[in-house]
Amino acid sequence: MEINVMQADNNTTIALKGRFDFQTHQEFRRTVDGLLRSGKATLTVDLSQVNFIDSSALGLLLLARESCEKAGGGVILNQPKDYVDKVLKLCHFDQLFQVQR
Amino acid sequence: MSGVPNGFTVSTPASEHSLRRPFAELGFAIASKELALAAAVATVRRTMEMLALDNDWISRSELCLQEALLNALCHGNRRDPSREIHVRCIFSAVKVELHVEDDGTGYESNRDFSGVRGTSPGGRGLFLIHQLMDSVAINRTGNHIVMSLTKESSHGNQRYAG
Repeated sequence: MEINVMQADNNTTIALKGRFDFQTHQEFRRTVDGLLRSGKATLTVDLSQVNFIDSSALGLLLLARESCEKAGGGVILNQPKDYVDKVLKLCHFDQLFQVQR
Repeated sequence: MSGVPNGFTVSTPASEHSLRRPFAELGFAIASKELALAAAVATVRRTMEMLALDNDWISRSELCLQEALLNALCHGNRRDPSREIHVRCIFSAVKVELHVEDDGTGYESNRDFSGVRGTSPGGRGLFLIHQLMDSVAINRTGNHIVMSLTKESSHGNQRYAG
């Protein structure tokens, strides 16, 4: 999976592309931890290019949310598509996260 | 790995018999390693695509197979690479049946899924399997799961005497 970080004004976006699953664990956590260390506590995770998500990735999003909230921010999920959106809804993530569709 | 458990065969009218007959079967064993797991999921997905099965079935099967394999890897075989995970997939025009069996002593299969509404980072794999598959059966030992999708959508989760 590709991970790109984009900064625009005060918005920090982590753009993901490909499969967001157990193989992404370390890279995603490293990215989030690095942004938190640099003072970015509100993160938008762009899911528009993600074509697969599993329970490991859902756990990663929850850990990121917890870390960001502790730092006074939060995590916003942006444009989940098709099956990814279905999985998020099944697991009630639309009640735990702000989801921009 | 044991075969299809007793009690799963349903007698059908002769006209439906050919539809129910499996036209492809895939069986293999992998080491308890993440790379092997990813390759197994990709292989099953490619097979289903080659068989031109329904896209929704492919998506459901891909995720549920991955979740079952992750459970087998992490909880069943406890990431011991010397332990194997056995996979068997049976495809017909009206049914997909996926078997995953590990060498472990099983994990809790009759779990209360109310926790998935909370913020704990774990515990959603088996919940997703139950949500996305039409039928889920786990043997008494807890190390062999059979997941199926059918055109009839029986929506029954069962335990069998394996």
